[in-house]
Amino acid sequence: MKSFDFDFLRELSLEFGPCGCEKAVLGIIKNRIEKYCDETYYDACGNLIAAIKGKSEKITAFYTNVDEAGFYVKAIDDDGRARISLLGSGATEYLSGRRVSVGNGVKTYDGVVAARPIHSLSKDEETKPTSADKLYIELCTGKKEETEKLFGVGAFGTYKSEYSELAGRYIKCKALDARAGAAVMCDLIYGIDKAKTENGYYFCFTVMGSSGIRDGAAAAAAYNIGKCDLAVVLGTLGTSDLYGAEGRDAVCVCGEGAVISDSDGRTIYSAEEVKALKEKAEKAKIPYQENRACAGGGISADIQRGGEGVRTVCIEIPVKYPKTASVMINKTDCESALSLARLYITEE
Amino acid sequence: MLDTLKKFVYAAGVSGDEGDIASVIKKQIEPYVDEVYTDAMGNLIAHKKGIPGAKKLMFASHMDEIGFMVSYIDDKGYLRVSKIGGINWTASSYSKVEFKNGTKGVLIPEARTDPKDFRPEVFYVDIGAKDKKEAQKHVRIGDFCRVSPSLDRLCGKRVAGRPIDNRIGCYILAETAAAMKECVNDTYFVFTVQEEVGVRGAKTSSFSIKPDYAFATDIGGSGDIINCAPFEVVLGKGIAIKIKDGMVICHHTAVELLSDLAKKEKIPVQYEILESGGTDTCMLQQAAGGCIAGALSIPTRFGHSAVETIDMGDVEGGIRLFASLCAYKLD
Repeated sequence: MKSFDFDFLRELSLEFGPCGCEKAVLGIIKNRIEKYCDETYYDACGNLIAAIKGKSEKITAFYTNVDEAGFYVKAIDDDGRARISLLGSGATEYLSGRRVSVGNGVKTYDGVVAARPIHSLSKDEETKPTSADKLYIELCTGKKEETEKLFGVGAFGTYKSEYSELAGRYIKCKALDARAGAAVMCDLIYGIDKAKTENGYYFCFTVMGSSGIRDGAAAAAAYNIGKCDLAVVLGTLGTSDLYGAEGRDAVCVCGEGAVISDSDGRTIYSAEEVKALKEKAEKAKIPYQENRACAGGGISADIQRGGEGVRTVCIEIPVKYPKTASVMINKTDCESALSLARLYITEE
Repeated sequence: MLDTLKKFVYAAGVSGDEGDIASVIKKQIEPYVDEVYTDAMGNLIAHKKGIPGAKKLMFASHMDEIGFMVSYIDDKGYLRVSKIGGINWTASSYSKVEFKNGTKGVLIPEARTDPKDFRPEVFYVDIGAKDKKEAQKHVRIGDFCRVSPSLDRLCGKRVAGRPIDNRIGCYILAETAAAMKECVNDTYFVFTVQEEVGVRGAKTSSFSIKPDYAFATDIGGSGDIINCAPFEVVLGKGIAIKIKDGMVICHHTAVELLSDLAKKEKIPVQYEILESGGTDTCMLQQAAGGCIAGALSIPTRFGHSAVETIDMGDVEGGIRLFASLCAYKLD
């Protein structure tokens, strides 16, 4: 079996793909997996769905969500500055003073989110994050018409940041929290010989997960692929293992393996499937950890309760600083997530 | 009469772990229906076929109860738990809790915590283990526990205990199936999962059944307790026909249908208008293409505590009303 492809995760994470504008990211994924699948298509919501057909009736569906934190342009001032509104659950303090890309996924332009110098801030401004109303993108075009030649109102934007390797097997980039699951899933697809497989598989790369809308695009994917025996959700979970948080309050710890959640904020996972996964992991000596605070809650809820419902489990990679320009992940946890996910394609 | 209800109350079934209560209900209802099956979410569905061309009638009662899930075991052997459903921490503090494997414990707030500051993070479960290692022999992360069940007779027809929410609804459906003389409609009795965490099981089960008419039954409130907000429904004056709650406005056809049948059968009823909160009814109404949905609420004092109190007279009326609905040909 091939080991986790960090180069591909790098490529995916650097690509432009804020909530609602995921086509560039999905294009890379489609190119990569197409030849290993029997069918790859986009559904009406924009989800990328790939299928490997089996001979038996047993179908396992894998899901991961690919959109990253970002913003969209809501107005352009006369002097060419772009006013923005945050997409999903981002935060303005993560954006102030950052380099960003703005565009539509086919062509993007560089800008910076303006931050006033610290010595010219009032006491209040020093201690409070800038509100989204006051944030703007500086592109140095000087004129509204010039900015409008690049993009219009409704253009998307996200961070611009480098991928780097850090000490202690850590990697850092924007969007790692949104793409680590997709990298796992692509590696998983490699491992299946479509000519020989008995079981059938679906792989759903879903969009607009950070919009916060219930019964969102992931629910549509679940409905579109129809009845499955099991859904395996691959994603990331923010750790609170930072200065001061210990024990239960840490939620999970980077470097100790992927997280198998019994429940999170929106989903109680299938107790039988979770138990079976933990037992298999222990037998195969794959490091894993548990969600100590039953925290988080992503697209699993929409999948578990989309249509007639499906038994659902979730494998998550712990991440530090999610939704920022500097998301950090420990490589050990990516490898653990891939090994755990592979337990579902090893046919007995 | 209380024997069946007692069986339902004592069977474990915290949201997400409803296996035990499902098997107890299955055994009870099986003789009265054509098939009983469980779906992917764990909903227990009992189906009694109707006459050819009959409309689909779905009854729903959630079988899950509020409780706790172990999320972390500390070095001293104390368990941190995540709440499952709407926990009243004041009502739950210093209670005995139990696990399905027989392990018992007590739910305690951290010392010197002002009751005003009660929140999930300050509570822990002491199972008497001397350290983490011993605790791990008895419980694992992800295990469910609940405040110990009980059911006691009070004066007259009143009973108190837990989880009356919503084993009393399950009891009404099981007794309706037994009391049903004719089944003209294509009838489904659905015992739903995960209602207490956000009406989750009702969503998938009603999607697959696609009923024409759907009726839930669940506990309601009672406007006769000291210092409560004004509320029409009281204990002992009959089952309550839901007009609205925080998550649904019932279809007028459903309300009229139940009212007319009650009048015909001389069953005392009250009408429930709940400002906040909701039941499976809201999901039934929006199932697949939508349906005509209504509900019967059992007047209940002290919901989500270990001393939920009801009047069995109200419950008997509910069973008769649902049984008469089974015999009424819907179109």
